[in-house]
Amino acid sequence: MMLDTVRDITTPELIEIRLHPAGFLPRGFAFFIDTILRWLLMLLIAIPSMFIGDLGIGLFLISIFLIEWFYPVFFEVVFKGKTPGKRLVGLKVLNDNGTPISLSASIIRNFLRFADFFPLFYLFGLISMLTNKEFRRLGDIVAGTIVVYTEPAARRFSIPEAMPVPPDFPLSRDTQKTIVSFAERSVGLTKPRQEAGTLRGITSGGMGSL
Amino acid sequence: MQLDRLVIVLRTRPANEAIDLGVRMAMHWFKPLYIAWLCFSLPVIGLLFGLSYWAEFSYTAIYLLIWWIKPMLDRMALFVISRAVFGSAPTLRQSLKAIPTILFKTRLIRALTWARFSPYRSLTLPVDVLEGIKGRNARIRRKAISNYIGINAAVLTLFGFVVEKIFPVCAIAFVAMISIDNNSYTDDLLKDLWFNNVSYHSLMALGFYILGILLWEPIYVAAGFSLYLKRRSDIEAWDIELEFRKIEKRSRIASSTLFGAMLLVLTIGISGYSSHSYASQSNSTVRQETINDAPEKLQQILKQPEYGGKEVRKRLKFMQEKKVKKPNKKPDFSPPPVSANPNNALLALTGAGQWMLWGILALVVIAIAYFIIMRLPDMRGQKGQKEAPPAQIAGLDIQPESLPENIAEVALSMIHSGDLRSALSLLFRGSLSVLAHRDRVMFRSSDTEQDCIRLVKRAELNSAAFFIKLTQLWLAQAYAHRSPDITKLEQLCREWPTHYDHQSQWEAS
Repeated sequence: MMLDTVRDITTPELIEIRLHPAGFLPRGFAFFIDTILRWLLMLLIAIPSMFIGDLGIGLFLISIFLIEWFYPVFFEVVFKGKTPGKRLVGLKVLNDNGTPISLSASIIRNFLRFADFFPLFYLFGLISMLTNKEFRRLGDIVAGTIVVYTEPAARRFSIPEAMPVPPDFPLSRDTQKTIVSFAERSVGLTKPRQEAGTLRGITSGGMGSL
Repeated sequence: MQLDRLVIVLRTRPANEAIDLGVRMAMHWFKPLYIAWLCFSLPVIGLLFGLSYWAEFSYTAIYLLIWWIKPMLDRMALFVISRAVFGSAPTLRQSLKAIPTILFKTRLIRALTWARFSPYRSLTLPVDVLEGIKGRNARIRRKAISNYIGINAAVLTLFGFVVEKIFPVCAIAFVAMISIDNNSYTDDLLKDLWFNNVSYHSLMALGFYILGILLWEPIYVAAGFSLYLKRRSDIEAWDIELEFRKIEKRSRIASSTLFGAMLLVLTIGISGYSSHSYASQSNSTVRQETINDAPEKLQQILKQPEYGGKEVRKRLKFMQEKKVKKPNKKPDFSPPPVSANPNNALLALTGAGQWMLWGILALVVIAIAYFIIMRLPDMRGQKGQKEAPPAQIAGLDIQPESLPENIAEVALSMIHSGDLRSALSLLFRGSLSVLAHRDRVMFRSSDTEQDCIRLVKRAELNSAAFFIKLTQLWLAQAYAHRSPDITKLEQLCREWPTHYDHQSQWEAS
């Protein structure tokens, strides 16, 4: 078995989708950003509510409750699985079959933060993320959700200018892909590797040796 | 470096995914990794701890010492994980044999002195340990490796630092949560930590710190190694080389001339690779190959889980059963030998056991049947007896205790005093009471007067007609306030005892 960190899904229409589950590091970072944003939001509410007396304190406490519990739910459901922190880091939450996260799943996974936080500072969540094959914390496992990397924008490679030479045999799809990616990446490779790769092409084809 | 033995998928992955893959690697080879790691690091830590305890170091000093020694321990984890990634996870013996190499040939002094504070520790560790280069070359190499992904390695190190600091706090909080008198406990602990004492409590905090290191460090090393692999794969195009090798292998099987053109394509560089029409002569040979390979490929595809391929199920089985079944699997279908089998006695025993079980089952069935046939009617009878008449019907109290003994006479006297309503009510209540208690008419407390009439009719009592007449009079009185003639009432009173002998219900109940 070859180790990798992807989750392949086949839809009922036989379309293959590949999800890239995200591990503890980017998720922790996204959570960190979200926490700061939450606190800023609370601060914004706290300052005006200080001037209204007891009513203000009451409003402030209620808003703390709502922000603490519903901030992630709101963003995940309304902004297609991306809280601001996740958007910055490049993550999003999906149902584990690849569909956009539903309200109930979002509520479950965020309310179970409590279990992940146990006993302090997300220890159980971290252990769960380290041991789970798709880096899910307990809330994710229960809600059937998965945090994935958003598709990175395709980088533009420049293929070296050259005269096209038609091969006298059919190249299979995979072979074509390999050759193209070699051409694309050959710029970034070390000098000896560029030559070695080319050489391998020669030897493997021409001499039939090595 | 034998790339075709690599057990991880090579692709161009972002640095974060490489770290994730490192975690997966650590968990996948959990057993060899942690066993070798613990066998090496536990004695080392134990030795250090013993020495520093003997020298009466302070708590912080011990803490720092154990933190300092980590790069040495990391080398063992890297040894195991690097071998495992290339397809041969070392046994414990192999790992222990590698200890001298780890200690003396991996530039440990550098790692434990000025390089101890390098944030790229996990990333440059493989350069030191696996590549075996020295001096200026090594420096250039480390720089090249940590060129683009150094920031990720640094973040990983920072995260590990935070985890190691926080883990003891979490663990102690957990212990405090499940301990009975947590207040005094945490107070003692905080005091010891504050005054830097080596005591029972601070030892526990130190123990949790060490536990955190023991759990976390292999994951950290594996993640760093995975980052290193990613970087090398990027700058040396491992994945492409591997693909080329595969193509090469295939080409050798298919046709040696096929890849002549690769030379041209690769040396000159490629652009219009797809828009050419293929030459037909070699096309046909490939086509033939594909057709020839089709049955095998079909079998392979059918073996995939999507097509309900081979499925392994586990279930418990008698050992005896296995032994009996084995001969049946042989191609000759001769019956298993009956005699001269040493297992015969056992077979007979199990057979007897089976018969016994059937017997017990039969007994149980018979017992249930007996119970249903013989006992159930009794039970139902008991149940019927137990079902007492309700205390009141339609809001009227019908308990015999609540009624006077000679209802008719009391009613007559009420009539004479002019209270017709009470008299009728009394008569009606009395009749209901007698019907419920003596004649066992199954009234419910929710029954209306009409329900009562229906029930009495169904019970086919002699007094039914009288009861109906009485009820109608009562209804007229109760709901319409239409009183009957006094003479009619008096006659009713006189007639009442003939139907409802009030005395008899006292005896009955």
